[in-house]
Amino acid sequence: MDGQAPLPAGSIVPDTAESQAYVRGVVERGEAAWPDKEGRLPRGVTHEIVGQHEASGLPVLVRKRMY
Amino acid sequence: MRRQTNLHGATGSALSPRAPESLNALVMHDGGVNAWLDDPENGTPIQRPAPALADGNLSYQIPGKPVPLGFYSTGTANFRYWTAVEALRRGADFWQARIPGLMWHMGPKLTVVLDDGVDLNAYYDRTALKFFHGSSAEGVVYSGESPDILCHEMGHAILDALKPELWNVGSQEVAAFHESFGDMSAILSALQLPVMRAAVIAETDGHLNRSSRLSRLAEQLGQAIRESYPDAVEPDCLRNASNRFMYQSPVLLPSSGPASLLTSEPHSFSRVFTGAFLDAIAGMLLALSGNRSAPTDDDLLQASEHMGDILVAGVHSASVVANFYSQVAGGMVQAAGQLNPAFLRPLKAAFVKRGILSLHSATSVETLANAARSMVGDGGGSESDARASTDIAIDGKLYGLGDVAVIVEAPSQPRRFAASSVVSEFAPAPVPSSESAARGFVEQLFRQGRVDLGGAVDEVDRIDPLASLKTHRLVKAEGALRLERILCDCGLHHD
Repeated sequence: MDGQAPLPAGSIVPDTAESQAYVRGVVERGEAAWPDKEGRLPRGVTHEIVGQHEASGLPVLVRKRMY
Repeated sequence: MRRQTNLHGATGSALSPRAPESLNALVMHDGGVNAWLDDPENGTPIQRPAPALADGNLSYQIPGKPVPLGFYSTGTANFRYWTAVEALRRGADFWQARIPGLMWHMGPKLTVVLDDGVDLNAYYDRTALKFFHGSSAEGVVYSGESPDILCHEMGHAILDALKPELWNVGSQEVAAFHESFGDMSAILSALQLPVMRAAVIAETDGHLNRSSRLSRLAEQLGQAIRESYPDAVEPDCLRNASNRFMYQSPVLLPSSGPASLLTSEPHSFSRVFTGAFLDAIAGMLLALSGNRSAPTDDDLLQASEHMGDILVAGVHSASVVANFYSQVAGGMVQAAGQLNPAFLRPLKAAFVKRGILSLHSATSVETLANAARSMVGDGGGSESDARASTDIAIDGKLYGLGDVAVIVEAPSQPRRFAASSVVSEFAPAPVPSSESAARGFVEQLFRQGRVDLGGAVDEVDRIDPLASLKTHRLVKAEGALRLERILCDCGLHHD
């Protein structure tokens, strides 16, 4: 991890083949995003990006919604 | 949204007269409400007893001014309010009866926002259920007006209360199971309505896994989405639990695609488990009906309640691992056996047929014995090379047959060409040996329930569906069981 701040509880860190496949799918479908200044996520987004996993280059996510 | 009229043909925002009682066996003591059965697309509203917004540990709160009880006309905000409350209460009551003491993840009251703006969608975010509205050629569609969608989102909240550790798991299979649970919640909640049970028994002729208004989820929202994205949803609904999708490792699937394809997108991949669930409950209904010509309303109510119990037990017992589907399925099979041995066979058959459970997993896992060793015979090789097949012995335990060999004719002619299937442009699939080809063929027959097990196995150990076309049978032969073909199937028969 390159983020210095501790990750939120329940963060999904793409550090295994399975979690990388999961995160990659979320990103490819456009379901991951940074929150806006008010902390809101765009419509259709299921996961908030909270960091980046250095080794894989994939984002670290926290689930926010189930559609 | 398509303009709906109520039972008296009234439209608009005024309170309408009460609907005839004949559509609903329930007697209204304290007033009631008009509500949809499962989805606005399906037409006529019914009367329901007044639902309680707050009730026990699974209460709801809806921001804004409460709407007085009444029999409101369809197409009004007041009707949408009460049809939502009715569906959410019905769903929560179903799960609360299965899991006494269950409480929402955020506390005793779950906030419900019935219209949070423009979107053809709905979601649960651990604080609230949120619904939206959007345009379609037939008018405005409100996702919070469809009991299917309401009970799907409520299902997310139920599963989150039951197994909160699933929320943040980075697993495609776990995420898909959450979606499947939502759809299963919608189906089981719908089955608590007597009118719905009667309708689906009539529509499917008692074969619950046929496509019906029960299996077709969120028809109206599906129609609205289809106008803009024709391949994003099923041809006649959002998702259909009556499907033929087989389990594949989601890691190997594309991350998205048209609805006709199975992808690792959670809603898409959820259809594998939901399909098995519908097959299972259809089999349970057959078991409960005891081979009567048609199952009764009470049979179906019982099947739905038992399935709810079995599903909860499966979720409870499942470890949160990559192959989560099989974990839940294994727990469900175990729970089914404890609840009613007659449910074992339909549960096993459903999960094996979809590939969620391997044949070996679904069958008894008692001590392995070398069945094949004792059944193969002298092993002489005197047959002519020109013969198209030779006998091989396969361990019957792989198919739940116990300590006995299954004698199968395996193709054994020498190969003339190095022909093979192609798994990628440059990587041909390996050519299977005669024995592995035979094993694959036999496994497929058992998985699809095509083998008439006859008296070869105890009833509680059977995994073949109760009603399926049999193409092969097992015949006792010199201490073993020989697989024989009965007929050739045209492939158009659907169980």
